[in-house]
Amino acid sequence: MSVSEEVIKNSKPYKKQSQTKEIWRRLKKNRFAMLGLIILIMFVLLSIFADFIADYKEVVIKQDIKNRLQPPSSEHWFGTDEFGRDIFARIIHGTRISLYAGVITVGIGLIIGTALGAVAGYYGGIIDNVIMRFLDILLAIPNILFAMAVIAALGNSNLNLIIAIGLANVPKFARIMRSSVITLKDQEFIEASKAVGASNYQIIIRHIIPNCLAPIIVQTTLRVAFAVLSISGLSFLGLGIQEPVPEWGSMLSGGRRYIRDAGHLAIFPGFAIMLLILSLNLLGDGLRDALDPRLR
Amino acid sequence: MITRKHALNNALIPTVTVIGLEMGTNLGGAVLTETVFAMPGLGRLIVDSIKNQDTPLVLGGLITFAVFFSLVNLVVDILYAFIDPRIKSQYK
Repeated sequence: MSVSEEVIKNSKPYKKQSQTKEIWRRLKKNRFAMLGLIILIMFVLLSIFADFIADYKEVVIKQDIKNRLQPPSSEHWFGTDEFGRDIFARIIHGTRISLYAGVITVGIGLIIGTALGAVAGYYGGIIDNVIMRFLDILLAIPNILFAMAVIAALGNSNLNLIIAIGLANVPKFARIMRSSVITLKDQEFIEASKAVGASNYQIIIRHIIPNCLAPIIVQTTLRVAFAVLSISGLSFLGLGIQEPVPEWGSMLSGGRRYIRDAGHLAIFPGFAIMLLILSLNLLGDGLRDALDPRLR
Repeated sequence: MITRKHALNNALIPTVTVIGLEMGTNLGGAVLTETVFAMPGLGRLIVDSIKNQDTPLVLGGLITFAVFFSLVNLVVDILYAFIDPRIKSQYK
């Protein structure tokens, strides 16, 4: 047999790799990102099965002053707080609240922000200008202060908190979407779609948005981390989620007075906040490296 | 000299950008720090006035912060002209 026939015979057939599998493979190679993903999955499972681990009314809300400020023991794994409630159960239910609030706020920002950014980038001109100036107004005020302003104006409720932080997330997504859309707008495949007769709506939904998803995905994970931090910070100040709902920030705030005698009141919620935000940040960094087209 | 003139200038562009953006985040964090350590600052004033429903004070404090943040970003934009020769050439 000739050399070329042997080469052809011994070579493996070309298998087309799907994009998602390729990205997942690159993500798996990053040890820290996998650690972040595992910790995040653990938190999500805890929040799903929270009611099976500790009943809400009995363990989390009911006060038991006889047992207040107990150190960690075999019965109360993380000890009890100043009203006698089990801290471990409160932290697990707090996971549910932090994750819900974080995901919903970033979801609001994502949907509104990407829609505005895509429209501003695609149509350009005066629509672009007007939308960007409105978003600059939102960007001129720092995140937490903007949330405080909305809460001061509209009152102190959960819905207002979510609206406030959701609105603060909108310009971040809109900017990224707009810059990606502007780069893609003049590509040839868009011109080809227009030549075939696709409407603007179809081009935006089917061609432009799927190609811009990479930085949006990264930004989503990082913004969820920041949303959890903002919500905890605002609850710590007393402006966010109200007692007796077990939110980690308000647990920290309540434990601040007892930090010398009963440190476990503040250490465990603080550690939980740190762990959740760390896992989200690690996952976001890993996704950014995996989705980076220059490394392909 | 090469490091000072070429590498430093190119490295400063995103650094200065992030300094401007992080200033905003730190203003929000200053509110929390002042509350924890009971420092008599503008951040704690805003939080206390929200709790006391003192709306004009909240507005004033927030406008002060927003103006400060905008001034910092203005300084950052002006600094771009000094460090980035591409932008400096537009204004010669």
